[in-house]
Formats: sequence, structure tokens, C-alpha cells
Amino acid sequence: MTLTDAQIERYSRQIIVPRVGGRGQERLLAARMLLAGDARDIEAPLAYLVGAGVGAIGVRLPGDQDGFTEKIAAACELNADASVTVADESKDRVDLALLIVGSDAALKVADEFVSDRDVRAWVVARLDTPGIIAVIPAGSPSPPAVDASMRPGVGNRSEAADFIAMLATAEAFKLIAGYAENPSRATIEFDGYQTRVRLHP
Amino acid sequence: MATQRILIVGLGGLGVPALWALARAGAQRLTLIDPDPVELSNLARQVIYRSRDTGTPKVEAAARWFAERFPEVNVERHPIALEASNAAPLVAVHDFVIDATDSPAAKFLINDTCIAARTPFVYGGVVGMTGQAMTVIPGETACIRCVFETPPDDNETQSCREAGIVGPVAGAIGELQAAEAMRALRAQTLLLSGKILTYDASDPARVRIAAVSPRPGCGCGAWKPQSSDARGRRESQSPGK
Repeated sequence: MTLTDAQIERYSRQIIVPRVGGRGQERLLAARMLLAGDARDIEAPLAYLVGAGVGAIGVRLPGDQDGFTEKIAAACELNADASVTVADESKDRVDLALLIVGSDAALKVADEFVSDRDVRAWVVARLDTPGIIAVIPAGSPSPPAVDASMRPGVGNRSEAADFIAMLATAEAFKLIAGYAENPSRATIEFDGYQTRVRLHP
Repeated sequence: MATQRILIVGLGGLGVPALWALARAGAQRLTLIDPDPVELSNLARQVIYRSRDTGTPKVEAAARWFAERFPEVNVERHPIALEASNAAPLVAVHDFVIDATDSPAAKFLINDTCIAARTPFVYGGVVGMTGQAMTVIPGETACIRCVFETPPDDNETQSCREAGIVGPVAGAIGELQAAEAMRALRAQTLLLSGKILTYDASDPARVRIAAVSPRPGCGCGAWKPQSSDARGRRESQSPGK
């Protein structure tokens, strides 16, 4: 994939970020990803992923999808380079799944993805207290690490929930763009807004 | 809260997520000020603007977005730059200010104007993969001049035009600024008063919050000398701004 002049201008501010570059932008445009969570929790992450030029995004919400259709359409209007489909049931391999868990219903959907989909890399965010983000690059033995962030039951929502969701989106961006040459599997644990990072060998 | 007004200075990478979060959180009265039109290079991270908005003043495009999505929010718009000549009267009629600008000069203008008007504000800044935020309660907590003293020269700082910027990093800081504004409107404890939050996204997200002390000699009035510190008392009584 070669970037057009218009794409270079549109994405110029992220292309010039060290370790993103034109190659990272090409990876974003070619990527296929899944995004799951409650509508209120994924609306802003979806907009940022579409804005960044992630090529194909399958969205999965727990329960009724109808209320989100307008928001999907609004997200699609942001960027013709990105396509967004609702209730993605395809079993094709995807480059990354971003699971944002803010409720028991969202946790159930995330659990289904973990067991049911062919996913190369994962970012799983828990928005309850204490917040947590599991970053699982391609090639990691994913299930145990995903399980660690999939503790049963979703408790009280963290005051930093929206902030955590955005940080998870940034981690997804980095994995897709190939920001780190050899990204580490990591767990980001929150104490309010502050983080403690554990890297896993 | 329905009558309280928030001023958002700058409708770029920080201002857009801040205003979106404010609307979601139920803010009723917002004032937007930004002199710039929407450009193609804004669209990757300023995710309320669409391709057809390019060339339109950001305040107009944002107001149109509000009308479609949050028609209940009262939006006042100013397609101009915040300058020394207009800052004081504008800040004076607001309860909280969000600094979503990207220029040091604008940040110091907001700081000085808010200190003079005793209007709390939240500073925000993002460049590359890092962001910062800090809330200032005039006369009580450290201000921007307590931390940086004077604006750096233009050639000492990098803007997102030179160093780049990643949308969700700016989005996180903007969300945080909006959360502080809502806490202020609800008379809740502010998370970042007297503290600075730093988000480094270059490795797995590292977020730190550090206390910031008022600086003796800063004219903001936040530094309070110990009662036994006579010299400090004299300094605090010397004329500031």
C-alpha cells in the first residue's frame, strides 16, 4: 500500500511521530481489528481509531445494536479510509482486538471473543476499580494474560474509566502501527489515574 | 450547574475531546474560542470534524456538531484568538477555563488572566507521545509561572507540527481536563489542584501525578510563608503582578 498525497497530509501529525512513520500509517490503513464494549465506552475510542485511519473495524456491543447505528454512521463520516461494520460475526483472522470491559454484559462479549476468534494481538481494558489494561502483542501466549484481565464480575466503575479507555486505544494504535519493534506483553494497573506497569517475559 | 459556564480555549487535539466529554457529562453552557479553520491535517485526531468541514472556522464546525449531537447544550462561539485585549472580559464571565492551546504564549496569557480574575483553570499540553495536565486554583495552588516562570522562546519548544501527535494521547488529556472542569462545577475535590499529571505513552502507558509547590516570589499569591519565616513573609508581601 502506498500513501497518497492526501493521506500523507491527513495523517501527517502522526506520521512524523518517531517510530510511527509512513510504514506505521500503512499498517494502520491495512489493519483489520475488532472493538467490543458498551456503547458509551467505545464511542470515543471508535472515533479515534477511525480518525487514525484503521482500515477495517468490526464493532460488537452487548445486546441490542440498534441504538448505536447512528453513531457508527457518524464515525464512518469521519474518514473514508476506514470502514466500520456492526456486529462483526466473521471468523476471519484479525490483527488486533480491543476489548473495553465496563459492565458484566461487556465482559461476556469479551469472553466470547477470547474463546471464539482468531486474533493476533489483544488490548483488554477493565474500567472498574482497580482499572487494568492488558497489552498482548502478536506472538504472545495470549490466553493466560487475557484471563488475568478477565477477572469475574465487573465492580464499581473507576473514576478514571474514560481516561483508561483512551489509554487502551493508544496502546491499540501502537500495536497496530508497529510502534515498538518488539513490543512487550504488559499489564498496566491503575491506582486512580496513576499506573504501575508490569512487563511479562 | 445549569448556569455555570466553561470557557474552552483552543479547539484542536485537546479542546475537541474536552468538549465532547463535557457534553457527555452534562455541561450546559460552553464557550468556544479558536481563530483557526479546520485543516485536513487536523482530522486524524480532532474527531468531531469531517472532511467537508475543512476551511470552516473550528468554532463553527464544532457548534454545528453540537447542534446535531447535543442540541440542549448552549454554545457561545468566538472565531478569534485569545489575546491580551480580549482575555480579561471573556475569562471574567466564566466559572472555569480549559487551556487547550498549543502555544506557550497563550498558556501564560490564560494563566495570568485567570490568576487576576481568580478563575480556576486546567492546563493541558501534548506533544509526540506525552501529555501533561495541571489544575490551578488561583491564590491557593501553584500556577504555570510557579512551574515554568517565563514562557520559553519559540525555538525552545516543539509543537505538534514539528514533533507530531497521536490522537488518543491528546484524547486522554482532553478527557482529563473535562473531568476536572466537571468536578469544579460540582464543587468536588479537584484531582490535579497543586499536582501535575504526566502521561508517557511511548512505553506501556505510564501515568504519574506529582505535587507542585507554589514558588516563592511568584506573583500568583499561592505561596504562603511559614509564620516563623520572616524573610519569606516579606517576599510574599512584595508586589507581584
